[in-house]
Amino acid sequence: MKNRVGLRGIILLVCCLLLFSAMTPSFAQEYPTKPINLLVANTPAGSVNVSLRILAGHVEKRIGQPFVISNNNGGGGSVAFGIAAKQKPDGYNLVAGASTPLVRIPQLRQVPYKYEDFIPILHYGTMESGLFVRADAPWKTLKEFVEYAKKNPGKVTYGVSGTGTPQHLAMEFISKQEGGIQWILVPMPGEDNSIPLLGGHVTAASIGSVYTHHVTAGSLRMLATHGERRMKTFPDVPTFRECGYDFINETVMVVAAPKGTPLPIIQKLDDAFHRAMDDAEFVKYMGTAGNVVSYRNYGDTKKYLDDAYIRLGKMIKELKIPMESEKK
Amino acid sequence: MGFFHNILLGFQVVLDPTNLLFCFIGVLVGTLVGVLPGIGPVGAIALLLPATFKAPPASTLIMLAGIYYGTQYGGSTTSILVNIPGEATSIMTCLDGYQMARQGRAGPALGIAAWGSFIAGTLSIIGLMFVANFLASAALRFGPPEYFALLLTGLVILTYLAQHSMLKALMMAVVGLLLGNVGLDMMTSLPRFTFGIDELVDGVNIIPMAMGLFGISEVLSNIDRKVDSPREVLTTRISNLWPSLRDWKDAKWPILRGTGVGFCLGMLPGAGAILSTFISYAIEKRISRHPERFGKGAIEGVAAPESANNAASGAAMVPLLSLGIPTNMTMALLFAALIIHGIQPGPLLIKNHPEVFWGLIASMYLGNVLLLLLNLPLIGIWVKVLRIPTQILFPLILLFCLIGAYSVNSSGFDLVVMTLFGAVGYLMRRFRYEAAPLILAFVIGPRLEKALRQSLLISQGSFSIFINRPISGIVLGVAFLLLLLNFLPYVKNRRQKLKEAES
Repeated sequence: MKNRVGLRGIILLVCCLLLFSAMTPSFAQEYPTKPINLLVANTPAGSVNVSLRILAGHVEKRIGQPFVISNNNGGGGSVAFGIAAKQKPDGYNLVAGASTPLVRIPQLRQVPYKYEDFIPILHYGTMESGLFVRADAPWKTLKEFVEYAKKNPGKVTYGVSGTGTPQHLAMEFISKQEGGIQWILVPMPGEDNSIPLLGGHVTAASIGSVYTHHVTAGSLRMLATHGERRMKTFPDVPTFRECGYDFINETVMVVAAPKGTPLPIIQKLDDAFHRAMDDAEFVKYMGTAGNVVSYRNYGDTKKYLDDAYIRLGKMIKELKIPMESEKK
Repeated sequence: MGFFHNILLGFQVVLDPTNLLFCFIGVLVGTLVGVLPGIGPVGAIALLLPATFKAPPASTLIMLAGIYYGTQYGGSTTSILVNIPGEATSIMTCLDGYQMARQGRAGPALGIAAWGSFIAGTLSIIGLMFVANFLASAALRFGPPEYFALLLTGLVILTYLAQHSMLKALMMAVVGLLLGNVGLDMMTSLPRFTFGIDELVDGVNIIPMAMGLFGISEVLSNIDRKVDSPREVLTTRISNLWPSLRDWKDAKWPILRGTGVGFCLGMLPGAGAILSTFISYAIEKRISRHPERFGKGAIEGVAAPESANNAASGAAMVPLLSLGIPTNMTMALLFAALIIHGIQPGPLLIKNHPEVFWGLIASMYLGNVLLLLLNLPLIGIWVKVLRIPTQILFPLILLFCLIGAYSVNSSGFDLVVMTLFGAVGYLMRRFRYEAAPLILAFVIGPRLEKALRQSLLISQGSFSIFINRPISGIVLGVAFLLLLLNFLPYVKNRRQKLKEAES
């Protein structure tokens, strides 16, 4: 008898499980039931955009609804985040971009949103950067370069893609630690900004890893990188920390949603994107573009960005980077 | 030997049926996108980029490049027919192209634009093939001071664009320079003149601005004139569809000069292509024996800029393919397309991936032929557009402008910009202020400022950097001479008058 009950129990349990497993997808089908808007705060040619579009193709298949992807690179990403902050937090309005417009731009100038207006879903990549000189330059190490700059005040010019970028902060950081180096900042905004360095019009450039292909081609040399770890593609190049400068910059590629988006939706998207990151094409692209595949889930990304927000804020004040004054 | 082997390899690649199809799709999409105002090569390539993830790299590049140079063919169409620049590089084509259309010569205008584009396109590929490496290293010598000198020359040339009053043209240039100041300051990365509008942080977008100044204002002033005569003329007398022998004689040299200017400037970063259209137009006007014909339907005024923009599109590939430097947004997209396929653009491209490089070169020859075959028969159809009654055509133009302006950034703000500049453009027309100097100054202004400030940072505030460096010194000398040449007629006139007064 007992045995029979046990069997019944098992059958019941199995039935329950079956029912549950049948129900789980039906729960999941509640979201998404319609296409999801994804605003990308990056130019169409930018590596955030391209990598995200590769990922999105896989995520779509997993969640059963397409993404409607549009790009807006206005204000280094601040325009897109400004738009996204005002959208309904229902999981159908997402925004993606570099962490820059979240953790840095709001601390430098007035933007129509706050860092706190967003919840991150995940970060799926890291954009690295470093200090570059021409391949025929006499300096083989960061130390030699800094020594030269110290001995020749005003002789060294360095390009950055913009004032207040982490790459600019890196140079100011060295200068402060070394007791003030007179080297000259030359901002070089625009997609053609490798010309001044390649042509020898500036001495060095502290800039994103998109320059690394010139290193591969033999026209530039990388003295040091800004990341926490050495770059996989350039294992011989030391990090700033290894050179004795306690500076790290890792701009991560974030997918985020407006504050108030339900947690289950965040978790679901986090999971779907995370799984898509295994795609070989995605991994290959990230490598060639000079980026690193890196992942933190929604909770850890939040913590990471919080830290970065505080770290950058402190640095911007300490290094006296120009800021827009508070609006009255 | 090696060369023939290479080009043969290229044609082998492009004559593969798949690649042939990709090339055709590319130029077809390019033409369409070029015709539609607003959406340009950047938008179209960005849309199609994800679709090429699975295609082989050579096919991808062939198609995307086809879109790019295809747009330069199509861009002239709306400029000529309805005075709306299809692309930023077709702004100059509006001036004489539209006037030709009003005189019933839309056919020859479109024809010379297509042929000029073909000739310039083909010549620029030859240039790309033979002198790419040499020129690319020359392009690297264009640092901030050299670029500054060149842009300053551009500003001087601006004075040649004035059609009516020089004073008014200069006033418009100042307005253009002021508008160019809107956006982030390059030294501090803080906003200037944005009035708290975040959309203005990157400055005013040129596409909605040009569409407003030319297109919307055209519609408005036509409504103002109501059923005025010009349109009637247009519908009754569409004479010949092809450029006549005389047209060819007039356009022959402008096409070649436009090609030269376009090719040289096209390699430079930033707005090389747009600048080349302005400069080639100004050159033609300056050396013409009848400069007064310009702005009233001179075929040279269509032939030169249309050749220049096509030559520039070929030349823009030079720094990308030989150095791995994208000089504009479209090139950055092609760069991204190569990277997706694991290919690093740059000096090693030709060696490591000859099939991609030579396949692209061969496809451009073929693409230009396809574009000519595609565009010439279309002329007959386009000309018929002009027969559409005003009350249907104008709302349609407005609609296309609205869609086009919106499509650039999917931003409602751009619609406001376009409408605003439409109203301003209408007032400018009423009071005979020209839009061309405004746009040229707007394009040059921010770049000039950037180059000036970068140069002075490098030289630590010394202006001698502009004279000590050979290229910038020579270019500045030319600019100075051009300025003098411009003043000479005034001085002569004055003397003449003084003499007359004395006697």
